[in-house]
Amino acid sequence: MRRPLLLHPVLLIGLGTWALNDHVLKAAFAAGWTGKLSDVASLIAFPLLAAGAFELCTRRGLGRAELPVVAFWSAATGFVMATINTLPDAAWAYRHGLGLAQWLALGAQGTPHTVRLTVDPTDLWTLPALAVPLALAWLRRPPASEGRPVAAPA
Amino acid sequence: MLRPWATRGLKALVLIAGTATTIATSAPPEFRLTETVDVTREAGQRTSVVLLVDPETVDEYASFTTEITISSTEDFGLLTVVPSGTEASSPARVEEPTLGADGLYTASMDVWSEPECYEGGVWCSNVIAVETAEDVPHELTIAGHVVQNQEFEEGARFIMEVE
Repeated sequence: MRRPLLLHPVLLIGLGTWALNDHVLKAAFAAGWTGKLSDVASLIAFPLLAAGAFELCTRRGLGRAELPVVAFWSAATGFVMATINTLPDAAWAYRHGLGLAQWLALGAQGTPHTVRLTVDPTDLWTLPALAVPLALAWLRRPPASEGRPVAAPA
Repeated sequence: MLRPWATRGLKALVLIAGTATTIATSAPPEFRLTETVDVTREAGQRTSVVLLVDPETVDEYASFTTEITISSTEDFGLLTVVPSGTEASSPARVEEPTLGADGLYTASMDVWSEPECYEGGVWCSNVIAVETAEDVPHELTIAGHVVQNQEFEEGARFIMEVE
């Protein structure tokens, strides 16, 4: 039986790196590499997290659907990363959308706020990190015979 | 091998932690105070913008940043932004306006000059000079923003001087 996506070490390490970098390393070492590290960690962790949430809704896991689901969320994550760092309107939508999500998560007190976003086209250099979740889903795909009816012995 | 209920609990825990990490990502909350002024400029005329920020207004002296947004219904070409101050200031650079969905040409710039706290006073300043290109229109809207990640006290404000 395969390990659930949500408990896979790649996701756990990605999430841990993302949180540690955002809330500790960035404050301690304000440098360009901390910004890029968060981008890389989020590009690895988010598609797996989103696909893992889908997996949670199924009884037997995603099975052969795992690869397309991870591919979809990888593409969506890459699309967001690319547009918010190049298109002012996308950056505006991200700043307001994430601000609204934070405001709701904190109990919707006061007025909704926006979030600070540094538009940096060089962040697009981190997009190849999306190969990690895709490669993981590729390596985890079940054998072609799985799920097919077994032929009755003659 | 974990029991099924333990696996389910761990998965739920990771999902919650992951969602929290995504929402509380490095993009910190941003609260803005904004002052706006409309000015009439001649071609190539240099504009100085001074933001005077009371330290009592901001949550923590080092935590705020300032931004200037210049907009117009006409394309005003390139802007040369020259922050005042010393080596600690952001370098001079050229900004190009972009046409937004609202039909306005807008150039935004975050600026930091080495703040000058007046001797014994309360005001600190961030200063930039903006020089528009030759095809500058006559009407510009200049907005100054003081930005921090804490909510401003009620009645908080700052002064923007445009010359």
